[in-house]
Formats: sequence, structure tokens, C-alpha cells
Amino acid sequence: MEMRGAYMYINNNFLNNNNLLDKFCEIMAITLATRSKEPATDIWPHPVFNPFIIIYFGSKELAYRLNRIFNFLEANNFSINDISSLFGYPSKIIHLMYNFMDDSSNENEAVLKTRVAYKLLEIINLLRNGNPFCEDGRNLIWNEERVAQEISNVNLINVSDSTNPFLIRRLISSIIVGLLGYIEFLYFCRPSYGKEFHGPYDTPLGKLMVREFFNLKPSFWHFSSTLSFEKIRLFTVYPNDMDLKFDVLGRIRTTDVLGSKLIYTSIIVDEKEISLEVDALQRLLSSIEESIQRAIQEVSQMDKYSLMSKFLEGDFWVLKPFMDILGEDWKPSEELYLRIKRKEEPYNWISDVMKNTRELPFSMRVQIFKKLFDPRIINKKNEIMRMVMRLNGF
Amino acid sequence: MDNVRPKLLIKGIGASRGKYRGKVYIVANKGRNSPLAEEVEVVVVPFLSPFDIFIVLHAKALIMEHGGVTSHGAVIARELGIPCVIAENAINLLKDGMDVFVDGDEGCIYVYQ
Repeated sequence: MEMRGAYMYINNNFLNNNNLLDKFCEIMAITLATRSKEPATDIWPHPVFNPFIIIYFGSKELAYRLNRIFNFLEANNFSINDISSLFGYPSKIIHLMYNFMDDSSNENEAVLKTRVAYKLLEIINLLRNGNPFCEDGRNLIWNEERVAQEISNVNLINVSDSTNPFLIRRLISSIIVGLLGYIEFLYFCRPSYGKEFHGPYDTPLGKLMVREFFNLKPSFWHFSSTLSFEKIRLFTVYPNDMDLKFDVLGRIRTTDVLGSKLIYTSIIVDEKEISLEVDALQRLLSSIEESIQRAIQEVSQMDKYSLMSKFLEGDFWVLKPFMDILGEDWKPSEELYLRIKRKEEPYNWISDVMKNTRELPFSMRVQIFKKLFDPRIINKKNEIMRMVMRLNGF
Repeated sequence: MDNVRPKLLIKGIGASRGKYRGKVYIVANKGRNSPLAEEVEVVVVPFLSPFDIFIVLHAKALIMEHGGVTSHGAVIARELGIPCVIAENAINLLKDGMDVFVDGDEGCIYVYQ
């Protein structure tokens, strides 16, 4: 073990001096500190339960499963590019990495989690073409060649040329909003498991943002079986002077309104481009609204512990393509389901850290949150809690 | 009514640009299965949960007590092109039917008295 101040780090020179991991901890800390002062009070499943509670159930098993997946794939000559393609999108990996906030009780566990975290960051770096944390406000997962190819394959329609541009824009906004609501039912506060918004890409027509929704029919929700499509891609082009920026989670950071500024668009549902007529858009919106109604009915009847199991399943569903290759079931272990069923209530120390740091200066919160995300620290819970107490004058 | 001067009631954070004057509709305490409210104008929520999607699709402005510019509610307001202000304690300060002016550019909520 290596001491750095009061913190015990793993004894691994390569992983301890990893710039990508350092940067990840810093960016995630800033992202968290910039949010509401009481994170998790503004996101579903609050107020049913605090989402951090799930981390104490699933994090260890997820890390070990990921480690096993990477070892198997590498032993079978899968390249890092092959593995990245199986993930497909980067933001969902960032959401998965929230699980690394949990404590490691010994060095072996911390080393394993660190190796996994490092591999995941390598993959994000590849998927985002060397700009893993969107530090310049761009989430560019397509290169110029791919953008040109994708644009040439679709028929981008100028919305202003339609008979009712106002209604068309309104319907497209409603479709996007409906899908955003729908994936919150599927994956709670980890919507990146079902969406990736990327861009902005410079095109001759203006700034292109691509909104992709995928994994819309996971088998662990009954209501999802009624949705008539699996994925949808919306090409949306805005004026060049539009303020369009993305953060590390692929969320749009702007206060500019989007719906009314849309110039060109094309919508691809399960590989098929749909017509931009009012009737076709209305049908698409109705089908999404119907699925949301079903989601409301199903979710409203569930208790807290059933919802916790669903949240956990969302984390493990992300790894399904890999588990299929391994020939194994994607679900979390029975032990995890049983722990939830037994109504275990782990001490939510991460939530306590959030609450007890809300009055501290921003820079101090960032310093603390950096430790939260760092998988290289052993027994970080005790030291972080001690640090928070000290800063609060105890 | 138009001669009445608006008074600044809350200074919050502007999360989606635009301005709108209308009647307050507080979603909290109305239950998850609120009927569709075609006539809703200024929707007020503690935070926007997916249960509120149908209401917000008809909203002309949104006020949330919690969140930031990247929060779910703010993202949705911008997609719909409606003003959104994040204002702590808004539910206590506003009442159903109150005539307000929501300024999403400045993050202000004015009330007509």
C-alpha cells in the first residue's frame, strides 16, 4: 500500500500514476459539485429511494463481472476496438462508473476495480475519439467521414418547407420529451443506458446534433414489450450560432431553447426513415405516450424494494451483450435479489457525504468528491467521513 | 389586469430561456395520476419526475424547486422551448391560480397582485 496524506492507495505504480483516471475523478467531482446541493433530490427514483443506495448492492459484483468479461474477451483475441463496439456508446459507461464510488475493503478489491476502471476509460477514450470527458463541450463519437456518410444516407427535410412548421417542430419536441420520460421509467436516473446525444458536428447545413435512443425494450420491464420499436435516431440541425455544449454524461449544457430553432431533421425508427408528415409524427408520439401510460400503471403498483431490483437490473443489462458472448445469464446474482428482498438497508454514507458538504466552498467539495470516485483508495469511506467531520468543525 | 405592476417574488436560476405570463398549476400533492390538464400554463413541481411528462407536454412554462441546468426538467423545458426557472421554496411561495410572469432568461418569477 502507498500512503498519500491520510489515504491508502493501492501499491501499483502504473495505475497510481494514471492521468486518465486522475482526470476522470476530477471531472466527475466537478460535475457532482456543480449539481444541486442535495444530489438525488431532483431525480427519479427520489423520493421513493436515494439512488446511491443501489451502489452498495451491485458495485462489487459488477466490478468482478466486468473483470471476468475483459479477461475472457482478451483471451479470445477481442481487440479494444471490438470491446468498444460492443458497448457502442460512451455515456452509459460513465453512468456505470458511478458504481466505483463504493468503498473497497482490501487492496485486492481496489486493484481489481482500478484495473476495470482503467479499461473502461480506455474504451470511453476510443469511443469519443480522444476527447473522453467532452472538456471542449463536444461529444463527438462520429468522425468527419462518418458524419458525411450518415448525412448522405438520410433525407434531411427543412422543417420550414412543411405545411405547418410550428406543429411539426412541436411534435418532434414532444417525441423527444416523451422518449426522455420513457427511458427514465426504464433506467431511472441513469438515462444514458438508453440514450446518447452527440455532436455538435459542423455540416454545410448547420450544427448537427444526433439524438439516439436505444435499449428501449429491456426484457425486465413488462411495459417495454408493448413499444413498437427498439431504437430511434433523430438527426437535428440547428443554426451555427446556437449554443450547443455537452458534458461528460452527454447531457446538453445550454439555456437556449431547442425545439423552435430546429432547421433540418430526419427520424430513423429501427433503421427505417419515417415521413415527416403530421400524421406519421402523431402516430409515433401516440405509441410512445401509450407505452408511458403502461409504465405509469406498472411502476405505480410496485413497492420500493421491487423498484430497487429494477434499478439494479438496469446496471447489469448494460453488460448483456458481453454475457451473451460468455454464454451466461445477464441478471445479477440471486444473492443480490435476496439482499434487497430481505429489506437490507446499507448505511448510505455517500449520501451523508453529500449532505454534510453542501455548505462547504465549491473547491473543497471537489477535493472530497474526487476521493469518492477514486477506485485506487482502500477504505476510503472512513477517511472521507473523517475529513468531512473535520471540515464541519467536529 | 394589464395595468397592474408585477412584483418580483422569487429570484432563482434561469434554466431555459423565454418568458411567459399565466396561471400557476402546482403539481405537488395532486398525486401521480393527475388527469391530463390541457389548460395548464405555469407548471410548478419540486422536481420533474417521469410521472409528470403528460402535464409538462401541455405546459407553457416550468418552475422547479430542485435541479440545475442539466437536470431532467431543465433539459425537457429546453426541448419543448418553454421557459424554466429553478427556484427553491417555490411551492410555498406560489398558490394555484396565481397570475405570474416567468422570466427564464433572468431566472425571475414576478407576481401580479
